[in-house]
Amino acid sequence: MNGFLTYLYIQLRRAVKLLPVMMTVTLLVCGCVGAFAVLYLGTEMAGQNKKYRIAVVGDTTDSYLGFGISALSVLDDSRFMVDFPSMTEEEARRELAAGKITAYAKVPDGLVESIVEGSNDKPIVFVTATGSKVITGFLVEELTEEASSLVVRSQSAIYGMQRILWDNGMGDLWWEATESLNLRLLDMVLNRTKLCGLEFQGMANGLSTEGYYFCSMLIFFLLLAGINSSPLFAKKSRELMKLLAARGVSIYEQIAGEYLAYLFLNLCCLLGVFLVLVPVFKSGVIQLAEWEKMGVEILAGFYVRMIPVVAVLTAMQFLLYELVTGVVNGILLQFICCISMAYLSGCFYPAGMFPDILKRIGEGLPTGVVLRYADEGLMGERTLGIGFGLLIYLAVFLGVSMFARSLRIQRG
Amino acid sequence: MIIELSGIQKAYKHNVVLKNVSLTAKEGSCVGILGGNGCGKSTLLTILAGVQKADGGTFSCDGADLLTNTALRNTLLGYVPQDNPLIEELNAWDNLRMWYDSKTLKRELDQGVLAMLDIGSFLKVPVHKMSGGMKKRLSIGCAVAAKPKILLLDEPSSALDLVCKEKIYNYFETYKGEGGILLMATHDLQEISLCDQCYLLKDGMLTPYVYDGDIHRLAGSLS
Repeated sequence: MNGFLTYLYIQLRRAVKLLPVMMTVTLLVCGCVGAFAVLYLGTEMAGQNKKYRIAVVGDTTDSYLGFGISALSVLDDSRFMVDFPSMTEEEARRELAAGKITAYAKVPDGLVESIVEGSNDKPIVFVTATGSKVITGFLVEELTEEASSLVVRSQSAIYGMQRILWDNGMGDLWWEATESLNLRLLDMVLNRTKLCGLEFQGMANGLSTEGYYFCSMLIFFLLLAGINSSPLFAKKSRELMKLLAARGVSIYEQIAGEYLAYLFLNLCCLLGVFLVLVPVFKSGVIQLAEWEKMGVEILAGFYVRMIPVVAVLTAMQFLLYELVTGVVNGILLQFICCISMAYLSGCFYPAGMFPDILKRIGEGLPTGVVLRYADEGLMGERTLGIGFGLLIYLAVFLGVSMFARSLRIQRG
Repeated sequence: MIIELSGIQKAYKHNVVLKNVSLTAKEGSCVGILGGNGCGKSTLLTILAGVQKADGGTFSCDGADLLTNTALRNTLLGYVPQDNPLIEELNAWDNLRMWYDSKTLKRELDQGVLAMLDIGSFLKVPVHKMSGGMKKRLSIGCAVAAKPKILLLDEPSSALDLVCKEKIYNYFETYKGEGGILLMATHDLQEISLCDQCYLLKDGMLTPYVYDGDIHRLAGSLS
């Protein structure tokens, strides 16, 4: 045995022999992950473009109330976000149950009278479906409250003004004053620009939705590559390991040789994915807000930034295969770890949606750290702490792999 | 050249596998270690090959300690484990390249030990497509790369057909004839017949055994 370099050469030969199969499977997996990503993003986009429908039921025959609702539906900026169709309560209930409307606002009988009399004891009731008290529910509730108070209060003001004019013998000014106040109120309502200000901080880690899922799917793909590369580990001869150790190829050299060959294989597979991505990006099917100009140079730069990520995930997969015997056990362990870690670290849903404790666990997992590193890479940022975290994980995975192998050899 | 094992001991936790195992063998001889399944034959060979550490005892060749001197052990000793230490997806050439440099490999395939084992006939065949006999011959070919004077063999011809056994036994005879020492763990009658001296390993103790062709007596001794 000529030592480490010969062993590395042999391992690279193994990797090269497996490369065509691995590349084929990689491209298939890549296609599946890509299709999943496009479908997912498509659903997200469709969700973003959806208009909320809030039905108005009850007595809306009063001219001011009718005009207020009509102004909201036709003239106000909120018309791009919310529709206010009129319907009966029965219809509204049916549509709400069918999910065709988000909620309905019930205008109670005698609302106008209560306003005219100044009692205001008949509020507009907002009805929404059970379980819809998520962010959308809160937003819609807030919006409805805003709309109802605008309509009701402006109407109260007009009726109050008319009462004051009549009570003080200025009934002849009634028409002129009402028109003036109407215009002023309309001006206030319609010129306020929008009901509320929304700022988008991105999906997570400051990335756009597309950018976030691009990184997440890449990480998920790299995790799946662990299952893909099982042939490299399934046929590993334990006898050979023992013999090599006895013949002077230390455990460190064995692990280093095998790991480097596996890393080479994974980097080749990732390169294959990036080569597929070049025409995809150029055609504009996927556009990332983080990259103003999509080009080969940017992708090449990002590929280089992904090398540490591949190194850590490769080391993790290497360790998992080292801990178990048999290809079935290895694949099962890879699969379970791949899915659970990807989920917890936010590959499928941003980690911010999880409870604090899960979020922290997810961020601390190797997949969480590599995802943050990839996200930063996409934005062109660099944090020393994340890079250090990657180094620690790499060292731990390789160290434990060496320990596991030495135990295996010693136990015979 | 004389090899000497003295007081080799090994225990897995409370299970004592080898108790003061001692033997000597001189050059040009074949020593058989007989014993039933799980009696510790393989453990003894792995200790001698340096794969496992002994709890006590020495293993020397002409007085030089082979248990601690890795470089000398690698020069003097070849080891063929029971399971073939081969890389399945690579062919015979690639597997041999781990142990031979390119030039030596070609020479050995032309007119050396590898030619004797007829490895050239399946040089480009991937290991996973080889027969058991091919794999075993290849394993032996890998083990003798450094032209060792001592060859440790763990059941070398188990489950092989007669033609393969013939090829392997012929090689062993040549090896012995060139002054090599074969130390073979076995319970195969044909292999036993190759041995110049036999030892019986039972309950961790190694005792000399003379095989007289009485298979019933041998079976009784092993059980």
